Amino acid sequence: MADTKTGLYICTGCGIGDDLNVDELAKNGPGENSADISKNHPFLCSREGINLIKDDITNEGVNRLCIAACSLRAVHDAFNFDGCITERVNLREQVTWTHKPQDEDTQLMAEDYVRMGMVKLNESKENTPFLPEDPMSKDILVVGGGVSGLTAALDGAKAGYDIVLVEKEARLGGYQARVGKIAEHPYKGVMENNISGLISQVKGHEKIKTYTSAQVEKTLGSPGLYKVTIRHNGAVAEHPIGAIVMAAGWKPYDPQKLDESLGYGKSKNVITNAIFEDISKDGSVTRPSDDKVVNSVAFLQCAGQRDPKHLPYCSAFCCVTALKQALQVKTQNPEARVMVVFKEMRTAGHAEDLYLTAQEAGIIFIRSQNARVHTEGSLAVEVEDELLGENLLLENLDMVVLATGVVPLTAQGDDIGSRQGAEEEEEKKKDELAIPPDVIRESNILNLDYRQGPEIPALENDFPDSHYICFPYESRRTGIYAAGCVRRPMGISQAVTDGQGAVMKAIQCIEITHRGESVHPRSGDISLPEFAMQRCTQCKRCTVECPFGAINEDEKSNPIHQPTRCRRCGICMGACPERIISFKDYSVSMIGNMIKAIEVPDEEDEKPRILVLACENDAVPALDMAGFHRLQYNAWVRVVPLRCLGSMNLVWIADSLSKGFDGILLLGCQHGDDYQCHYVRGSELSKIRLSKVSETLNRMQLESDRVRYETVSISDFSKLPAIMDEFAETLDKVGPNPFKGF
Amino acid sequence: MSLKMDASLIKEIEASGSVDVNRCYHCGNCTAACPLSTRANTFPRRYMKYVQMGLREKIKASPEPWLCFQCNDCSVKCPRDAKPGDVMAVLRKQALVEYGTPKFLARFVSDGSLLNSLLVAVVVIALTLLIRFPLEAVLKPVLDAFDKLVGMHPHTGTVVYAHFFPHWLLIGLFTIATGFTMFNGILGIFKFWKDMAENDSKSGVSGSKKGLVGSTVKVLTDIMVHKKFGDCGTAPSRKSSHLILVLGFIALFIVTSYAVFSLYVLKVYPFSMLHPMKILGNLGGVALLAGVIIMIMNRKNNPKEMGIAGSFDWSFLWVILGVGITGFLTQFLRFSGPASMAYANYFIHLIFVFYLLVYLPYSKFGHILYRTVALVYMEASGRNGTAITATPPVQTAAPSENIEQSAGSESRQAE
Repeated sequence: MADTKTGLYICTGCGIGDDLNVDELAKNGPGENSADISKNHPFLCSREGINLIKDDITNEGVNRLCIAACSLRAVHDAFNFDGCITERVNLREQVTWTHKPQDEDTQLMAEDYVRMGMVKLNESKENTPFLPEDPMSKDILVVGGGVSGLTAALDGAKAGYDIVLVEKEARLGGYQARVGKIAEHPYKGVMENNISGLISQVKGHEKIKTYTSAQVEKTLGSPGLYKVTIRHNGAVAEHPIGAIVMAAGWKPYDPQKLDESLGYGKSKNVITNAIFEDISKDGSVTRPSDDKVVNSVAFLQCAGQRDPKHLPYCSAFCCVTALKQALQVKTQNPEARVMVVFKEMRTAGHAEDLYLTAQEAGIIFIRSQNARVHTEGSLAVEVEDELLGENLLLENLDMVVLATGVVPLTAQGDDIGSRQGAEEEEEKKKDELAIPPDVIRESNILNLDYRQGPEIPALENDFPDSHYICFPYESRRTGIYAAGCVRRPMGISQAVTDGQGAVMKAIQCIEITHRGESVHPRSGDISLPEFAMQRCTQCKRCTVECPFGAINEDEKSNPIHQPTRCRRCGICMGACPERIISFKDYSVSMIGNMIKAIEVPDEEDEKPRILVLACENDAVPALDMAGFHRLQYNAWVRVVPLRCLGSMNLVWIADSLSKGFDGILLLGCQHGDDYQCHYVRGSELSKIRLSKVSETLNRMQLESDRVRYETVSISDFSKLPAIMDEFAETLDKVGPNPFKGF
Repeated sequence: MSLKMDASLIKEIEASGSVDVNRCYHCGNCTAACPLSTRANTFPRRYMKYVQMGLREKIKASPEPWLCFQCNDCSVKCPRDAKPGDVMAVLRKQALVEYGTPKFLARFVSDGSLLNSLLVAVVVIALTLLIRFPLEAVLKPVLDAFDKLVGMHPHTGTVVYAHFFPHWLLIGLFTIATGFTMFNGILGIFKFWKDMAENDSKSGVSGSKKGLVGSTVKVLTDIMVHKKFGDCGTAPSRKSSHLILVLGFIALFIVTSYAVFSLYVLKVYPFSMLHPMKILGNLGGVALLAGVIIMIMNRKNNPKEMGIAGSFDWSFLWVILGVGITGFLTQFLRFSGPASMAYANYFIHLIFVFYLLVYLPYSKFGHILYRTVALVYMEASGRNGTAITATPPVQTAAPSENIEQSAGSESRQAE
């Protein structure tokens, strides 16, 4: 950009003007990066304040704005000016609301922040949205023709998108087509299966192209640019696709694997809930051994479920299924003895009504954790009734029905990670960064052409990773959304909602991608990482660490970035040991220069400095929250917000320590199984990278206490002052950084 | 040993007490609400489960149904309207049949209609009257000898009940009939005791055992002041009406015993109206009538709080009322009435008394045996552990709980 003109606008409202010496701030803050124009306003986000800025843009040609006011998260829309690069400096939540008014330390802090803002502003370059030369597709691929897949296809088509529906079976309907009766909202009793209505709607819709007995053979490309190859009945079809809904479904847990005490396989009359559906589909429930109409049935819930030896999770619908099946038996013969042995009865919401209906029909419910099936002689179930503390024998049973659970289709196939693991063992030794590999099973659902593996990485229990706390339907592959029982176990109505939700996410992704923007969490961001390839050493760190598989490799291990897969988190930038990856408005050198812009006073001044690298998604909002609550904390801290803690490059640690910072505090999100990282593995990766820091510290002969890593969520805001104060105390004991003044 | 389920039990119980045990979903609100349930004796939920599961033997061998005074706090607080209080009442009724011999008589009284039971009494008393003269002829030497021994006293006035129904016949009839059923009743409570003890030793329940005499004295003392009944969260009128009734019965029992003593030993009979025993008897009669009338009114006015009253419950109340009214009429008609009316009334009075005394082990009156035994058992076996009442032990929480409870009962009364 040839002509740049910077403007610094300081808001003196919300107490900023009372607590800080704003004139000094404008003078001493910017230093060598001082702005061309500097103005104050007592109410900058008011129409008057905005007009002041707009006037400068029109009349003075200002096109770079440093707004020193409140948090980036406040009045975001007001400070959004077309054609300008805007940088926000948070003087309100992070300075005046959390520190002593009219205090030297507070003033110094504000000056540092303004200087950092000006550095960032001056180093930022303008972004342009990514719009590929190849035409982008708006079609949606739906994999799986069960309840959620059908719903996704139908709703997507109704919203005006062309749908390609792939079903591996010869007929549509998925598991639901196997089922005789259903129990659904409003849960007043057993209902007729209505899947055929949905199937005919899908079949009759002109915007839906359905392939049955079909299989996705290859998925090439990235959102908006997918090329999907479908094999069906020996023929091959190719479709350009915008986004994908994966509703591949589930299969029942293999009853052969169940504990022997449940008696499966020892008697024909010990069946599973899935087998019950098969034998009762014609309308009557009969005993498998001799086709006698059943008179006494025991349903054993949680067979191999919520059990670490089998499925550690709850399959969500088995309780309602058992109620339905028990009611079927009772309807057939109101005098039948029907017992449901459960660990916990889970009939959420209106399904409770079905439980009550079953109870009123005379079905007996027994809470027991250790049901055992006796198959010698008459079929019997022995239970310890928890409420009575008595052992009971349920004798002369015609049938025992075991509630086996949901196994997602993504759980089938070998994990490619464990195979590669052995090969890469040697490499890792050299590398020293022990990054646990993702579990990617060859489940033959999408057959992705991704460097990282052919399917979606699994998180817990082989369900495709989904950031379920904040972002349902999300997977770790941008543009691919999971729905139905492949995402997590669920009943019919939830599967319908899932299909609708996932297809909405797919549409959102398509539309956003067509504008060249990022999907969430950085929704609307058009920045993209740039690779200075001439310095690349083909170390593969970026391709390995990108949680979204956004970087492919060529045969020489050069990274090939796929822009529409990218979430713009900057984890690759943090990973790159050569520091060749940068964004136009976010780079290793830019953050490095911001850190350098912080004035570190000499040892004699007794003003230590703590660098806080904080995640923008949780830690920075938590700091804002601390401000809203007027919590006071240590004035030595200087906060640098990061897109994700995973974008933290180790060079910043080394640079700031040699500059004389007394300590460095990293504030990231919780990681592990219950991770809260918006980029799934960012905080975990930064923690792993930190393991290398001790080396740096040793080399510089510094104490390891100087670098601390803390996980915080937004609700932890009240703990933040204590964390920072306590860290400051520790540093006080350790003593000042000997590199000060060099 | 695993217990076996008896699917027919629930139907029996439901048929017997017009309750719907299947509604219960075992939330335990009833047990939490019950002021008498303790850690060692949890009820009523346990018994709702026993019924659902068909654990007949367990119920039979449990003192808990008799520890319940049916304040119906549980039924009022039951979220499913499963009426645990009424189920407990049905279990008590069933226990009378379980332990009652002869079985047919127990069933006849507890499940049959009041009218049928009274008809049998009519027949028995009428037959007794029919065989009076033949019997007198046969027994003349014995009766004369007996008269000579104790001496006869002069009977005056126009109405002499002994002329209609001589004392020897009256005492004879009631001794034989009541003796027969009471013998069976005593057998029943011994069986009950044995079952409870066996069940406890099987389930490994043990407490510090106490002496039988001491326990009995303690329980009887508690009964005299209705201690447990007072712990019950019911409206106060329920405890007091029962206490008034019990005191009335005790007074009448004392007077009746004294009358027999006086008749044959002191040879003073009948008493004058100012005789202390006569006064006590009249006071007892008034207490009896007052108690039973309050009970009847309570049941009529607060059906929700009082629970479902079946014929088993109503019969007992009507009979007590009948005994009271005809008792007073008997006294009144002795002085004023024509003999025919006096004797007719006396006949009816005897029918009611027959029901009360002879049917005692099978009618609702049976609780006098089984409840007392259950309470003595609890005391003697040491199972009366520290009571866990619905009020939490936390001091600060206690007052608010009380306020809530009393407010609750007030509003219930207001309804």
